[in-house]
Amino acid sequence: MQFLTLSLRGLLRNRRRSLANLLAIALGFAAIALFAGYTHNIYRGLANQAIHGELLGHLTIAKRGMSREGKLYPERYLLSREEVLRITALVKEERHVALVTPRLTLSGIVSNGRASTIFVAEGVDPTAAKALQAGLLVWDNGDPKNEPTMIGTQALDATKPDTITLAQGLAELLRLKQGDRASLLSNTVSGQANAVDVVVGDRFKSGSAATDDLYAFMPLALARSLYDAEGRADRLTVLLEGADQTDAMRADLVEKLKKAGYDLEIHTWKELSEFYMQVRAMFNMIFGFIFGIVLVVVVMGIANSMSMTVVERTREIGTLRAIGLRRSGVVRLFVGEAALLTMLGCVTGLLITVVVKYAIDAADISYVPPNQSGPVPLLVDLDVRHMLLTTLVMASVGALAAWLPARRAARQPIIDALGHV
Amino acid sequence: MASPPLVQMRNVHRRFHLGETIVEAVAGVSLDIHTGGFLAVWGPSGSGKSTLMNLIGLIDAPSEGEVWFEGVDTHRMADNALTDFRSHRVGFVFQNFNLIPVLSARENVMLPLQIAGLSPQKASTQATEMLVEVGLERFLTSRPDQLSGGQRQRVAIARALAIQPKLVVADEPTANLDSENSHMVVNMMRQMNRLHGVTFVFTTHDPRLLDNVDRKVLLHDGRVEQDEILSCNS
Ligand SMILES: Nc1ncnc2c1ncn2[C@@H]1O[C@H](COP(=O)(O)OP(=O)(O)O)[C@@H](O)[C@H]1O
Ligand SMILES: [Mg+2]
Repeated sequence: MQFLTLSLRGLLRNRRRSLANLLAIALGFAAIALFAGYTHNIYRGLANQAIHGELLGHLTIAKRGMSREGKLYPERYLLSREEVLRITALVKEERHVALVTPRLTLSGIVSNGRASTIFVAEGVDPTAAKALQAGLLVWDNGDPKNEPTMIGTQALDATKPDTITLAQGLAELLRLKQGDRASLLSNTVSGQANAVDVVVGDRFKSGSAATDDLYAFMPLALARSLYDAEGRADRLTVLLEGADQTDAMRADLVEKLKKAGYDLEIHTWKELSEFYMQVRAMFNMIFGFIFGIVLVVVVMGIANSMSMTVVERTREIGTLRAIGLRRSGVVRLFVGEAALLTMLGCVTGLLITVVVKYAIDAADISYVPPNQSGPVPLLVDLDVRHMLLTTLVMASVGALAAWLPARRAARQPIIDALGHV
Repeated sequence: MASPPLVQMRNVHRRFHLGETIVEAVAGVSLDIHTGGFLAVWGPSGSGKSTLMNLIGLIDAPSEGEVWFEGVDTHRMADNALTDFRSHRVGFVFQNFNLIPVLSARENVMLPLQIAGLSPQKASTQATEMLVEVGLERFLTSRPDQLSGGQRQRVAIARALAIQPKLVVADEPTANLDSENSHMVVNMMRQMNRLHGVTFVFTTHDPRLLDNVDRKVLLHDGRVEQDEILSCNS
């Protein structure tokens, strides 16, 4: 249709006005796209941190009720040796499963001989831990400046069964350095007191102020022996080939393990990473806020300029109506013009976004986010999904903003429109 | 001889409300316009010529009375139906040319064709033919502001004729032209009327332009004061 030509030329009539609108839309688009890209990058980093850094893997399998009452009744909720072996075998049969490893968390008191404090330790197979954290080393496109803040299991070694690692704060509390000896006190599953002597292998940053004087890692075998729980585990961590398979695999495994007669709960890494969900909820709210403001600005700009445009072209509208254009055609003409303007604005915004993104990436900016113990680089992704969504919403809203004045113009009597000067 | 009139006006009134007062621009006109005619409506300013033309061209509706077009009572038609009806039957030439400034001469002529549903290729071909016919083959891609008044009105005539209408309504088509161009435009309309058999109704307040017409309707205060049929070619 020639109407596209007409819309485009219409925009060129009042270049200054169109340009002002276009710039407002472009800047709004860029603001949204850059923020979406920034949060996208944050989410990616946090996801990586949760899955590989915090060793959550993609899926966690435990007895039903474990997450609520496991601490109270360890005996009831620990997986037995047979269950661990059997479930592991069943899960490993599935495609896309890269790793299944048993885990055992325990708490107790750590002492340097003079002073002691409480600890929470994660018993994990050293080899499996290395595999789980392998993903961390490539996060953010292998950019070397993105050092992980939490490699707690680095110093765990299958050949050194009594070597554990301590969070930096915990180690400082007890003045424990690498190679020092310490003893751990804990209850066994059945409630007996038990103790082991250990060697401090390394110290790590827990990544969060709240856990930095609490956390420790130890080889799974040591945890089992301290807990008197040979072959047992409180959960199984499953690593998949890719994070996007998480939900589908969970559904598959729930089904499969239920059929095999196990009453289990399977959680995804998202459900277990409260921090990820909190950050996401907060950023989503800020995003909604920015989006709302930009939309209001775009709507007001377009509604305003379209009202003026429609008045200026009243006689033309009368002419078009006289020679046979329906009212709906008039509306289409102006709505099309607004939609076209918005689209062009979004394309311009995309260019701005790309330029700014590479400028930010190249500027090597870093900052310390809340609840993090070290600086992280400020990076921006190109969040295509959000950009498409933004374009769509802006074009619709822009069209809507043009719709009202266009409809008003289309409804006026032809002779009034023609008589307009 | 027995074919029904193209347009039949029966006791047509058109009143405008101006605050408290009511202006009766057309006050009881009954008029039959026959196919193939070349009719001039003349009279002093304010006599209701424009209002009458709008009613004949179906872009305005009477306050009272009826306007029949090709035997159809247009009063009963819904807006979309009337718009489509008009788009295939009536062409317009305006005093101010009313060309779309951002479109070239050819694109302006294509416009009613495309509104009527022709493909861009067909519309372009027909528009070009029309512009050749009004002698503007050298100005196909010119914008209205690159054309003289006479040339613009020729583009408007080409636009009006592009859809091969039954009727062309031209309200004061020469009011913004010098006398040479005025004669040129009226002669061109006459030529098209003879060549294509298209019915023309135009208004003027210049009696010198009435030499060449089939019929002259003199309007005064919204009433037909004189209706002279000069030749019987319709
Ligand atoms: N849209 C309108 N609103 C109010 N009055 C009008 C309108 N159109 C025409 N008139 C009045 O109707 C009368 C006839 O006007 P018009 O048809 O334009 O006459 P002409 O074209 O012969 O000069 C005039 O008095 C004019 O003021
Ligand atoms: Mg007039």
